[in-house]
Amino acid sequence: MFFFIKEGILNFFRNKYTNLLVLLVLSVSIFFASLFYLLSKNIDYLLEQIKRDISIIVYLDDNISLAQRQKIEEELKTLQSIIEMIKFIDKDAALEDLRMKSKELPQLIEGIIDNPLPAYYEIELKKIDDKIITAFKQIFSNLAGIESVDYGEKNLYRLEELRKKINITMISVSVIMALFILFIIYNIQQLAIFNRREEIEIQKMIGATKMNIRLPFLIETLIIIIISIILAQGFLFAIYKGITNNIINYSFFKNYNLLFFDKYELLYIFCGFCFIAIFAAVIAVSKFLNMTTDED
Amino acid sequence: MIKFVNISKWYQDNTIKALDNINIEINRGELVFLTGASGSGKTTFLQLIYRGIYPTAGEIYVENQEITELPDRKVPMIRKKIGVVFQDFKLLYKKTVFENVAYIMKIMNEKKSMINLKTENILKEVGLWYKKDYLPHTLSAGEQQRLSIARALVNNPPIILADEPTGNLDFDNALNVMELFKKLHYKAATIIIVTHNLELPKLFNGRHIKLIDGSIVYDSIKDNTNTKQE
Repeated sequence: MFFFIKEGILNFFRNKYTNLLVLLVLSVSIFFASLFYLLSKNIDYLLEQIKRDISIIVYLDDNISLAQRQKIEEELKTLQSIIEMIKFIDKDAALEDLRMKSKELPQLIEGIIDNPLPAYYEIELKKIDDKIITAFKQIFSNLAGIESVDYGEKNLYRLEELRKKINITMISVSVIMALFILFIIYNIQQLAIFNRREEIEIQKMIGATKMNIRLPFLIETLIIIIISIILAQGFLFAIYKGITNNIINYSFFKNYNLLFFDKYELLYIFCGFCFIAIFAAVIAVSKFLNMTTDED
Repeated sequence: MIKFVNISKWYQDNTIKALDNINIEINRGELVFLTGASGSGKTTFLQLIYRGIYPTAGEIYVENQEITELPDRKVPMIRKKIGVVFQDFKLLYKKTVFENVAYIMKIMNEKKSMINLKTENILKEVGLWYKKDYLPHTLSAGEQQRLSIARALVNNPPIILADEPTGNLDFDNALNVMELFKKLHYKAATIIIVTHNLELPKLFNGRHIKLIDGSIVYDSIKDNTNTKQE
């Protein structure tokens, strides 16, 4: 095995100029594939954060009785495990809140004599999705003293749609980049094999097995792809660090952190690209070996 | 043992005949000289033995194994038992003299100490030890031929096929090479040498098979009077 590893390393250096070019192309491809995946991850995370800000607002009847309010609060207590925070806003506080929000249009508030705004509960959930909203709907539809409930469904569905579209786009781009990498390695190996076809023929004639011939090519491919992955991820991390260090001053990003790959994701990326590269190299070498066997 | 049963080989969509219905047995330890004019089928004869090509018809047995039907994955096993000296050397030009000889042992996972010892011995025997770190293209044709021979012999294969092994050598080197083959013959290796030199079979007391247009026209082991030798 050591002999074949040595052969693979020697082959890498024998074709150093071609391999440097391949390294560059692969590094750029892996960089973009990883970048799109990272963008997808960050957008996903961002949307999750935004979703958290969506609250369920339970508007109460003006003439709600104390017993009815207590019943609502009891029901909410049973949902404590999924609720992050409950805030009760009475009618006066609701009007004050509106007044604060309408500072630029004070005429909107000036005409109000009787406070038309209902008291309400603002419920922030730990996680929001269709199932949870359905569960809330079932509870609130059976309770008296509730005027209406705003579940924030429209925003939620918009975000979900957006997330789906972004994920599909990002995954498609990543898959295209992965296929591009497969295509590059396949063709590079075909070229390498073509350049060494005489050497391979001689090796076969003096008793080398297909595996003996294949191994140095696979090891050479592995060296190229590992260096490419390290370069691409290193560059991506440098950019990530640069961005996180510089955008921290923007107010938007004070609430939303940017993420990088965790160690498991890096491992998956590493294994994934290695697999793609080896797969492409195996196909390329096997195709050549089978072709020459047929010619025999 | 090598056995050809009704072997025919045609090239280019069965338009060019290379061998025509050959039936022959070469026993273990025989020293055989295959002679004939260019295009008589000598090289084809050798290529069929190491399965460099397939016959158009017939069966070939090498070491009691029928090799024409042998799966591709088992061909290297046969080739490892056969040392081949090619007419055009077929050296690995990116590897040094030492690496060319050691290659086959390395892929056979031999111990490094054994590889070094065997390689040193054979390179000394063919007079190339002092050039062990040279690349083949820096050697003369004669030296490349000797290197090719060293590679074929290093593993003491039971069968040695040599296509014009002395063709590029001067008389002294040719004699040295033939002495090498003779030594191996004494070690019970089966040796088949393709040559144009009709004196070699007599000189080294080997079996002489002559081919003309793909047919055996003379086999010294059979009745010498029943031949078509020209």
